[in-house]
Amino acid sequence: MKKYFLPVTVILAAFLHLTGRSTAFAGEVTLQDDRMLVVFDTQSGALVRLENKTTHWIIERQAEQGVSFQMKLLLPDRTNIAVRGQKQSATEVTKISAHEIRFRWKDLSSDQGRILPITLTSIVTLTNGALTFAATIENNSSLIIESIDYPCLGDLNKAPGGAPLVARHMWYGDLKSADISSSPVIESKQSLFCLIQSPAEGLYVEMQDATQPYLLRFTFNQRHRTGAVNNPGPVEFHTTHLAYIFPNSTRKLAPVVLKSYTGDWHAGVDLYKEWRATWFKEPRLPDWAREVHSWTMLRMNTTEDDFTIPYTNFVSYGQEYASNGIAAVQLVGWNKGGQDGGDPIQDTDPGLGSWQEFHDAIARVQAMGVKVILFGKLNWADLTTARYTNDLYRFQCLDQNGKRYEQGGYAYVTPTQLAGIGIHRRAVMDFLDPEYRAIAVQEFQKILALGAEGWLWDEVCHHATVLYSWAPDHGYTPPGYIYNGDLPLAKQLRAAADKINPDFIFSGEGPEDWLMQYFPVSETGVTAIPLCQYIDRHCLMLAGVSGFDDREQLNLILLNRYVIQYEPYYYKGHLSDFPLTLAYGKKIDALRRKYKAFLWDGEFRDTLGATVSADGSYRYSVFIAADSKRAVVIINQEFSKSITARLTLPNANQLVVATPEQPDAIPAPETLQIPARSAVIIMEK
Amino acid sequence: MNALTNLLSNARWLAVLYALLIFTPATLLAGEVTLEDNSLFVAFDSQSGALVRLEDKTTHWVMERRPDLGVSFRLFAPLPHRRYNPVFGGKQHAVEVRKKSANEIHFQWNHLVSENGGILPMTLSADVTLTNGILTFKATLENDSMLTVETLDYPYLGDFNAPTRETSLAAGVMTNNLPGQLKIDQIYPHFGNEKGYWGVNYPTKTREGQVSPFCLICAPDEGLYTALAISPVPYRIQWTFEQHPGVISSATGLVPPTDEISGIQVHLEFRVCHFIFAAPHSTTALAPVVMRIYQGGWQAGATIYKQ
Repeated sequence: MKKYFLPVTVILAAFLHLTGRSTAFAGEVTLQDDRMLVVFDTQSGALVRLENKTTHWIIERQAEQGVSFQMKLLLPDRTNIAVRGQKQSATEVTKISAHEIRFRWKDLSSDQGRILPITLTSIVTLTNGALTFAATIENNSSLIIESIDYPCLGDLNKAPGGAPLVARHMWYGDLKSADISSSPVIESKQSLFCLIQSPAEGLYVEMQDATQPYLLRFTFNQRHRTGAVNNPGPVEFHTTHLAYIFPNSTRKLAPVVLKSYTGDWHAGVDLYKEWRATWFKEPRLPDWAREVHSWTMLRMNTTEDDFTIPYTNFVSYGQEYASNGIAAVQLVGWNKGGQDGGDPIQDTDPGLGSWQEFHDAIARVQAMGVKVILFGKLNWADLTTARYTNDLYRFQCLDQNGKRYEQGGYAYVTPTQLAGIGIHRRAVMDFLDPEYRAIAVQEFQKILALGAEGWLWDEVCHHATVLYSWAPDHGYTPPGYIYNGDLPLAKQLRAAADKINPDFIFSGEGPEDWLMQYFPVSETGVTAIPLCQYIDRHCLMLAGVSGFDDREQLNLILLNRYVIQYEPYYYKGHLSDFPLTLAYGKKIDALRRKYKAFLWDGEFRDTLGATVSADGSYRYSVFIAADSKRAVVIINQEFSKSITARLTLPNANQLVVATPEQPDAIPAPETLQIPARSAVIIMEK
Repeated sequence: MNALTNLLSNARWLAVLYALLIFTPATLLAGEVTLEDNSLFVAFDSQSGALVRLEDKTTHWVMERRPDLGVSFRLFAPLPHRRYNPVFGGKQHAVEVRKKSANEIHFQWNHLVSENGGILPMTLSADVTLTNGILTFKATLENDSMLTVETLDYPYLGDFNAPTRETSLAAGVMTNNLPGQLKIDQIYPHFGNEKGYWGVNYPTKTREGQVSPFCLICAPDEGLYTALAISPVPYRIQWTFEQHPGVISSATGLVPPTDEISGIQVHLEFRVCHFIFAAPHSTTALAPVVMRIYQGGWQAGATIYKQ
């Protein structure tokens, strides 16, 4: 037997090379490189095997579970009919190059046996480990294609080791996580990518279009075998394009890219960073925002007409901010109707004073060196206002039945509202409508006219429950994907601001990553994972501090490079109300000024590049300065216990240590004693 | 020698005064009206009608401790063109605080001074009784104004304390209409805000009286049972907790374990909010509220309700 081993091996190797896979079967077509292997059935076009060759994670395993695509079409009575790939034969499966296959399915058969003159053509390429699915649909039928699921994995398997997979996606400055067995659905309105993550490796899935052309869903479906709830079957994973392809039209779908990676979420997000670098346009940041600085926040009025701070009183607050070195104040509830009242109208409120009084107060505060950032919302129309009744209702989003969508509003101050009674509900305005965008720009110009140095668009990150609007006469053929209007409106607003003040700063509440091209300041608070900081060293993330001796929050802000936003009494008080918090915040910022090259300008690496151990609760982060020197921040999260921490920083130069209380660096000892509720920074000298 | 005698004499008097302060459960101050029995002691300010002290005499748990934080009531009466128009009990002068009997006090406040609507022709009358350890608050609002009174907070404890600094407190309410199933949430030493922070000044929790006709404030071995004395209640009720001025850190929710932080008093408010929506020129009897002490875990408190 031994003498036959070599020839057999050679023949087998040649066979494998020619067929392109380890277990090739007749009727399959394969793409592979040194990282990925993907196999399709030549009859159906179904994806029947997907493998990470470097780790041997067989991502798609059971060929019989393989699926090519699915479609849902809308009948005139608004019911759906389905077209399933399993019932179609591919009319073409052609390997057009070593790394490219073309698929075509024509005259599709619905579940009811109806033949539909629809052609789906797809080019699948594998280049440097990136598997790209680029599809085009020619819909010559009389029906709207509501959605198409493509590509599809019919049998998503766990990675070697068998740990459960989790789906991770970007949202609100964080990397959210959901167990795949719970059948999560992740939407491109929040994240352009989804990570299918095992402990040691993952699959990165990307919607390769950052313009929000339509909603794409990363859809997981944990199937269960019939009659066996506790006996889970295969997990399906589809990317569902809700593209609404009209009769007699052709639509290119957003390409979907799959890449495998080794490591935890950092490695997956690194793939997103690579792609992001090809399209993300860095927004302008005024000089003051590039320096270490902090914000505060103040509310003047709410929908309950409390009129807490008249315009003229704002100046005394400004004096307090200036004397404490605060760079910017986010001013809330200044508009007519108070916070979350009167939107989207950005007029001043006579209950607080006159326009001129407000304008002058802003000018006086800014003359003291404090930038005034006016809070605003353009997404909604307050249903209680005459303007809504008279005019704005025409620009609201409507559902399939012609009914208004609503956002529920927010409760303020009185027991009545806090119990959910009498809250100002709002219509959801249609950003796809050019006429409404013009109104929004007009309202925004009122903010500009007040002379503020910036604005914060609260709730810029969503449109309540609206995905698509069926409102007629809004300048497009419904349904329209409302998120598709976000970037055009942001562009118009930026253009309006640039005419007045190119340094006028745009900030927003948790803008999605693509919106950060216009909103470089994001207010999210401290998130579980500081994802924006990891992705983009230039972004400014605001985190509120409201505790009366809030060292814990301030340490997290230092750790993960947030901008401090002081919010005494949940932003209804004075800085002097929490002197302990203010004093420690000032120390944090002084430390950041002293070591700005690391803590503010450096590349934020989260926990990558160092390891820390300690005898208590701690967290750490790594910063890399432009000269490649590294720094590590360690915070002690114990409330009353000092901890001993040990840092491992490979190939480190001489290390020095400093703290907010002892900012002058001294040589770092081998083990660090960190008092309770405290932070240290260890730096390469 | 005379000086020494005087000193000793003064010291003796100071010792007597100290003993009175320490050993008298009902630390009676001038201007207070009190009720007490074997289990409870309660004191009200005779000027404002505020509840200024509440004590479990059997365990010496002083629930309401600092008189200056005592509150009588609060109501909200929106104006036609301005909704924010509270009436704070602390700004009212009680026209009557009269001990009707050994176990009953009558209160009356009228011509209420509102924050933004001037003096309102309203009269709030209350009778508080203490019988066999059960403290009952009955109140009636005569609203002779043109305004609707949307809510009225009564009774109102402005400084609710745990038995000791080291003792935890939790709020417990019934779920699923089962007295044996309580939703229990810590309120000391950690207090988590449950309202949108944008809408409140202080960390706040509310529990619905319609879901749970009683609310327990549970220390590990004892507690305060507060309940509605009628059923069904014709309007919405909320059990409300509010932590002043806030917490040490939003990251931990830890309440300052001190009387003050940075010169601001630290105190937990507990009040019963009646959503009465009392129309103009109407009289509204509030649902009576009872309070009593129980010994043991939360099950002991729930047992009172079952009984």
